Amino acid sequence: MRMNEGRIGVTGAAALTSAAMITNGLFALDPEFAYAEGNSAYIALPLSAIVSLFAALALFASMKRSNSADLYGHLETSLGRYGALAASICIMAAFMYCAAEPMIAFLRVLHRLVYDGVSYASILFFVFPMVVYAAWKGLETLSRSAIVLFAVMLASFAAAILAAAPDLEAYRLYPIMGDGSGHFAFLTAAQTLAFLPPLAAAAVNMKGMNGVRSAQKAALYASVVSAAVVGAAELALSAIYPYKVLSGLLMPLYRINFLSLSQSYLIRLDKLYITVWLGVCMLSSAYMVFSASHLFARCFGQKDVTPAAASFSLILLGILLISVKGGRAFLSETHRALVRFGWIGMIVPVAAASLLRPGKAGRKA
Amino acid sequence: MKRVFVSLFAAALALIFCGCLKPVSLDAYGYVITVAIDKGKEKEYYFTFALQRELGGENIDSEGGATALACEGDTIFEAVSELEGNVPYSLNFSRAHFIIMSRELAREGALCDFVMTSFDSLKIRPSALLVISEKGAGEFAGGLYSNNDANITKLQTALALDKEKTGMVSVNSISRLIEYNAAGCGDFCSAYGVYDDEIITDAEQKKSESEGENPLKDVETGDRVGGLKSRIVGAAIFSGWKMTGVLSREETMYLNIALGEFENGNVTVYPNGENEATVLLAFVKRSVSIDPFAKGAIPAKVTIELAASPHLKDPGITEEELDDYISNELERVVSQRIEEVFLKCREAGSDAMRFGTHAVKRFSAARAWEEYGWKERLDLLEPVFEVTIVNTDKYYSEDMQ
Repeated sequence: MRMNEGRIGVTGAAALTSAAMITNGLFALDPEFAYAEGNSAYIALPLSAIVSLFAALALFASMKRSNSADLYGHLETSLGRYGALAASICIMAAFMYCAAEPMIAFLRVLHRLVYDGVSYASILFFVFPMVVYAAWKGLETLSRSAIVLFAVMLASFAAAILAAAPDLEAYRLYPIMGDGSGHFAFLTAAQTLAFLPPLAAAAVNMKGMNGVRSAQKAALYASVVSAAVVGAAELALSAIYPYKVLSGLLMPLYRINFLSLSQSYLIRLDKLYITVWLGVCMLSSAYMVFSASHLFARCFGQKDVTPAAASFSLILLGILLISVKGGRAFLSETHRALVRFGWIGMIVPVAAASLLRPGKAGRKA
Repeated sequence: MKRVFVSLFAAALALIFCGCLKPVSLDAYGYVITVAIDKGKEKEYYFTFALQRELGGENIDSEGGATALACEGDTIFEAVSELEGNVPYSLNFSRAHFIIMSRELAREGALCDFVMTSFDSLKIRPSALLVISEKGAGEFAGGLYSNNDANITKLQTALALDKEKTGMVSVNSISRLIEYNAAGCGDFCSAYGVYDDEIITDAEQKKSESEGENPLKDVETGDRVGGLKSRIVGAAIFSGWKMTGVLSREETMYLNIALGEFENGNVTVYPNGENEATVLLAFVKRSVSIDPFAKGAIPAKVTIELAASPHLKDPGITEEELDDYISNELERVVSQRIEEVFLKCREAGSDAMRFGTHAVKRFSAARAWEEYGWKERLDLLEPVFEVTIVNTDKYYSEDMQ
């Protein structure tokens, strides 16, 4: 057996899950979808994190009833062999989406705003080996790195927002929830694709997290922290940029210190911030790749997770190479559809696994 | 063996990660501090780039200041690529602090073209200040650096300080211009400057001294001495992307008071119609109420509270006279001046007082706000300015008693 799970505590699990949730929530947000019709993201995103938490808690409660060792075991007892396979494929796809989406955003920002005259491919091959290495090393390495990086990430968010504080203006929040209740509900639902996969990853890696109770605790802490951080960051962004400007900005959080007329060391730290956030993003992507690999290994009865980790890393590399090149209409249409409706592919298997009664195998266990 | 291999692999990865992508040494960049844009003769624009000059030894001509590069081009990219062929470094715009555009171009709306195409591509930070120059922008940029200052980037901070102390300058970054044009709830105003060749700079005084002449001889002749050849004389007001009017320094102060962006300043008053006195004003608070849904005219009420501290200047005025004037007349005068500035802005089609930022608060849906068309209804706006001025000196002295 070489599943590279090790054993991690609640703190490590919460830091890792929270890092992934915040990265997906803040950096993988499609600005055109989120802001074009008005801005309610500062309410919709934290709400989405809480909705995802309730979905995850329902899943954990169901797992407790079925007494399963991990998510795949539970899917099998609830949905049967083929149902579990189909649900796992959907969940793996969601994990890969969460691994790729923030990386694509970072690659674009690094290419356009940070490195002068450096190609996408160079930047990609600069950061990608670390993602593969971390995914290959497994859960313990990921969680220990997360504990260290998470604190630095929170400090960098706080510093960036504090430095931008003189530029905050309340009128930019108006019209409050101006996109209407329909779009607000749609955005809240759609963003569960950013928050639910990291929580489901906790269920996949439950053995390494010392069982369902620890995983449940980690999910609870991670969701609350993520909702607070994402909400605060989005509120700050909304008070700095009106929704019309936000809808056309790539990674506005990186730019919030570009506006200040005053000069201070805190203002000019944006390159440092993005390095920290990139580190967290790499960790988050590695966690998602590892979780997809772990689920795959469990699906097909493999006793070694590393071949799957290598394969999923290659898939991620392919997605990143194709996406950052862009330019193809069908790619942007696919992406548009995924951003808006991808959540259905994640929520359906999780809901099915939570609501359906465990089968005979489960009851025996 | 495996541990050694893993450690070596991790170390190699760490080293790769610590490296640079396409490393460029610092002296391979020329840091552009100011971009000045004028109308070109053969091509559309004439660009002047001011770069910080390195400090260099005893020679007063190389104490600092700026190196200028200039070139014509239909776009900034064309000018940059032509200039980069002739200099031993690449131009880097990430430290650009000033964008200066000639009034002629600003009136034609050339800012939109420049801002939308160049900012992200050239990595110019939107915190760069916009200054509209009455005549040539390149000439104005030259005037800004006529003193050979060691750190020319401090000029941006100096402008902000001027606004803080006098309230007579409009200091707004390009980010605000982008914001107002995207959100449609206000109009931009920028600093408006002129180049004055008559001013004798510090560098010229030093030169006179080094040539054995009396450096203060110009003071004796009554010439304007010291400072920079370029100075800010007011504010340029915009309607959308186009510059549509100019405010004097005094009018800019009243605009800043109405906007709530005023901190300190002073006004000259004539309490008995003849003798002059100076009153220092400090901002206390401001509130705005507006009803964008009213039928016909759009009513708005701006309530402003200022603190006044009188400084007697002329012995012909008594303290009581001045107190009386502040309590009864100054409020009326200030509100009247603010109203005049509002009318001037409205005539220029500009919501420089940004009533739109208050009107938008009355809307519950973004679409409704967009369909409302704030700018088209600007002519219907009828604001009332209520100014309250508290004589703080009198208040404190009464309190002491």
